[in-house]
Amino acid sequence: MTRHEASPYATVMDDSQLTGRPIVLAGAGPYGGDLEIPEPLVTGGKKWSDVDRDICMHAEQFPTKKWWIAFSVALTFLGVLVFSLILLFYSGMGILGINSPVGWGSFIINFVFWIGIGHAGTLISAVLFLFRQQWRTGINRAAEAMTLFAVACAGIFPIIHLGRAWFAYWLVPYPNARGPLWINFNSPLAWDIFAISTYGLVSAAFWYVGLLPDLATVRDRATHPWRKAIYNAMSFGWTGSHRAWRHYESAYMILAGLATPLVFSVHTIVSFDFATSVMPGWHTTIFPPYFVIGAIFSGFAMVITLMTFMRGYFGMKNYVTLNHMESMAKILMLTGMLVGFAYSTEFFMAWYSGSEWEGFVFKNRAFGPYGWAYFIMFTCNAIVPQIFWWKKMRRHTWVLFVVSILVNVGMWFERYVIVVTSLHRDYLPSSWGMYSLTRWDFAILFGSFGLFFTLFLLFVRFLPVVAISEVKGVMDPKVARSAPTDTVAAVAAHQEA
Amino acid sequence: MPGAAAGKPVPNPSLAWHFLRAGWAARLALEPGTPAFEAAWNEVLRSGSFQGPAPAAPPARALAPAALALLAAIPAAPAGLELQLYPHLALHDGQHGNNAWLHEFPDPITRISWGGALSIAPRRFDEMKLANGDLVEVDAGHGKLVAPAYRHAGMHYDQVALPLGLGRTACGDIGGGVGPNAFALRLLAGGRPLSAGLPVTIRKVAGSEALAFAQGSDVIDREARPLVPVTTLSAYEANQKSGTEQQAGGPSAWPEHPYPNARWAMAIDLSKCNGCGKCVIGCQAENNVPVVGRRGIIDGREMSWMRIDRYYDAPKKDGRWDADVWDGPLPVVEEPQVLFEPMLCQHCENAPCETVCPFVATMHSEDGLNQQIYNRCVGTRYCANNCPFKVRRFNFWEYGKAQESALFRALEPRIKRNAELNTRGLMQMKNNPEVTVRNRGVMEKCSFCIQRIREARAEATRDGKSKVHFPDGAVVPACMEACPTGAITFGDVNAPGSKVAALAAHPRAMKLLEAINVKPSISYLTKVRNDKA
Repeated sequence: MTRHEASPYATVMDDSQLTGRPIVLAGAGPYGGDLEIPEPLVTGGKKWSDVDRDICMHAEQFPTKKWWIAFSVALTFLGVLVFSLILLFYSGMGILGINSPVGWGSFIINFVFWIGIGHAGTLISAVLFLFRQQWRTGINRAAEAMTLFAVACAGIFPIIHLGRAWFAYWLVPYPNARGPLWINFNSPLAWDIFAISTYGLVSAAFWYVGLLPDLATVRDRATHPWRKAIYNAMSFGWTGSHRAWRHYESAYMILAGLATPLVFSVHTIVSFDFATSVMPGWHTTIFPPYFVIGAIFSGFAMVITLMTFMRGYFGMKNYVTLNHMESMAKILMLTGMLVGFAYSTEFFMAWYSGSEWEGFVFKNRAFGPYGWAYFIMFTCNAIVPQIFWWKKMRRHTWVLFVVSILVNVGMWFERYVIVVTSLHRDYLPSSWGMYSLTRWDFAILFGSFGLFFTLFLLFVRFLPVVAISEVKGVMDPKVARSAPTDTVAAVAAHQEA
Repeated sequence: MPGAAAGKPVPNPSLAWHFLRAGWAARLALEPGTPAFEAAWNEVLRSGSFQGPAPAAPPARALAPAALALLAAIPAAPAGLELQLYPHLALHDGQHGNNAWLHEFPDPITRISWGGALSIAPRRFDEMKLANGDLVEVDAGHGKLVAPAYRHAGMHYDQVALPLGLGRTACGDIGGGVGPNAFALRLLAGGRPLSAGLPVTIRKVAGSEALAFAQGSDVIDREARPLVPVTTLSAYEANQKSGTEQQAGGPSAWPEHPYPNARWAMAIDLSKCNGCGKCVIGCQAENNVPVVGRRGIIDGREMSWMRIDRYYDAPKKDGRWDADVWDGPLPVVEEPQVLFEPMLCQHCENAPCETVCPFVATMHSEDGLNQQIYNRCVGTRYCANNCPFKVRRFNFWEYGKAQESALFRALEPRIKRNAELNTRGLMQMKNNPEVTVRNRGVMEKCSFCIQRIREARAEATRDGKSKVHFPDGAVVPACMEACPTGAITFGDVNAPGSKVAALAAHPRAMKLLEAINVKPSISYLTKVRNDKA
């Protein structure tokens, strides 16, 4: 028995009517079992044609005042980023806070932070797709876009953190006339190049393939011939034939299969930057799973942040319902507990290893001069998400929003703690030192948010922010099949005229 | 300036030209315009140097009994706090105050560079609730001075001390206004300056000033971190290896380097090292190490390839020290045991820096050097992070060259200051033509004076001598050359009968951080303390 046959939810108009619990009909299921009818994924009694209009609308009309305000703020921060980078390239790494014991600072922290954010998109689109989690359809497009833009933000940091960034291309191993200059395959930084570029490319391909039918929808709705032509080219001349759908579905499945291992491999390799070193506090085998979980954790937090805006300002409440938010809150709580478990395991191993160096680094982390950062990290990541034990909190928009922001603050500080506290007091007490961010570190950190939001707002402006074809697939046909009332009225009015 | 034929001065309208010539006329004791003067003047210009007559020997000084009478003028030792003024170790009275190397040289004990501070006994310091750098007013009655405070291990409770030679007002771009001028506190007693035992009072005043420390923690707990080999004479007599105990490392996954020919290595005898730091300056002069200035030291960007770590040895105690031992608790710093350890690139056999560089900019040579290739370095700084000895130095700025943009110089005044420090005055002439001047964005570190090694090799080729092994003394790096006590020995450890091989095999030898299996090329020889009366 499929869910659609007996949906009692045709009249659910918005998410205030959702409960987050299925209706249980005792004994009505197969073989005399209970029948659970989940709540609908799309509310508001939407028809299929409503979906086209609601979602394509933002790409079709002149942007709202709110969009312009948001875009100009984002663009200002992007300008700050560009100016800071000009200064950085002109005068050198000296403008930053890094120094002799702490050779990596905010740039590597930001890099790991953004790469982590990028994980949720692929997880939602690929892993949840393979696990047939239908609630992913409302959020996967935006989450994948977030992944791409986060990877773009992350991608600039390993380049700009180089002392001579203009030679960054030396890291690409291709036959060349510079000696030939070859790279050192022993170095985790060389592995990073492959990991990140693969991830970026596969995510982009996956995202774009998913976009094809929706681009065709935008094309079909377009009235201006140029607009039609551009979106037609972007959708590769999508016809919507059965053959096209057949190929599309298998391509999507294959790409999901390819992207899934990348969710785990990228951050594993990023963690090798630290784990393969000899620095106490970095040299730990727990890093790969710990980094992957942290990445999913922070990525889901960012999705919640963005979805709060999408629901609030883009009228997406019928497609990204409170049930979606609650599902994400559950993942946030689970990954938050796993992260907390990783923190505790690290401490246990530091003690259990009996290594003086290791033990000192962890004591210093929690109780040394950067204890405040550890406190922020532990509170935001391991304690704050515990609020989601309460269903009411999982379904409270503001609580979700605040927690999602705090989690990302906490995850930024997690990287701060890992990078800074391990370096600032290492083997020789004589070389110990302190690290702090300069105004240019802050400018570039906030500037990277400017880049992220500029890209995201352009995405919202020009592309369908929800996967139209996929959402249609999870709607109740009994509700969605009939023509929308306003269209019936419009057609009638047209015929009368 | 154009040269002139003897007897025919070039007509020059410049006032400065005449002034300069008049000055040299006085120095050469010749009349300007005479052929003798022109010949001598041209010779000075040509050679670029001038050797004046040897100074006359000072007249023999007889004991002046009258001087003894002056002792009466010296005030009696005060009962309270006494101030001692001591010459700065590098600058002395300050006459070379415009030399950036001397300012950058960290005091061997306080480890302060670019300025000085009032040394206060740790107990008094803690009682006054001071922090390093808090401003303190020193009142000697006849003069007052505000100086930053420094918690100086081993100071007597009733003593404070301040270095002389700082705070010059008219000195030049580099040294002007650096540090407090302690001459203001000197007492003239009976026409004689008095610099010691001055009765003073001190009080905390508002404000603080960052001190340019060239070192992190002062203390070493050798139970936890056996990084300096130290023992006592009686322990040494019982066991020659005493003091070199450390945590053992595991097996190595890396293949060993073969070293078919020479293998360069160093041995540093800590019993001989007195921490004077001449090796540091010698290295800086030889290897074109830039000056980073006070702000550079505070920012933690010292460039010195060599440093002398100064530790206060935490005394043995029952059980373990808590983590706060690193902050210098009173039991450690009131009667400190000072250890000096020259620290430079250890040229590890399993160098952690070599494996992590994605650009292969640092690699192992077949004669055992850990080489840094500047034009291949792109500046990931991963090598420096992974260096357990933190001896790698990154060029955060373009030190050797002035940058022009007024906007960026206004945004970052350090750009202007770096150019001043490295290109003005004496510093224009500091560069060794045998050594590359590194540009910004690249990593650098001790090269074991590779230019001298390669020169010795070229010489051996020229003279038809062995290029496989080099005798002792064929290569002397700058630090070894500068060391007045002969604590540093450098040579080819594979050469039969070489001194460094004997020292590396000596029971006193310890290679650091065996726990992580880096296998340094530098052996530290135990400092043996005499515990017998």
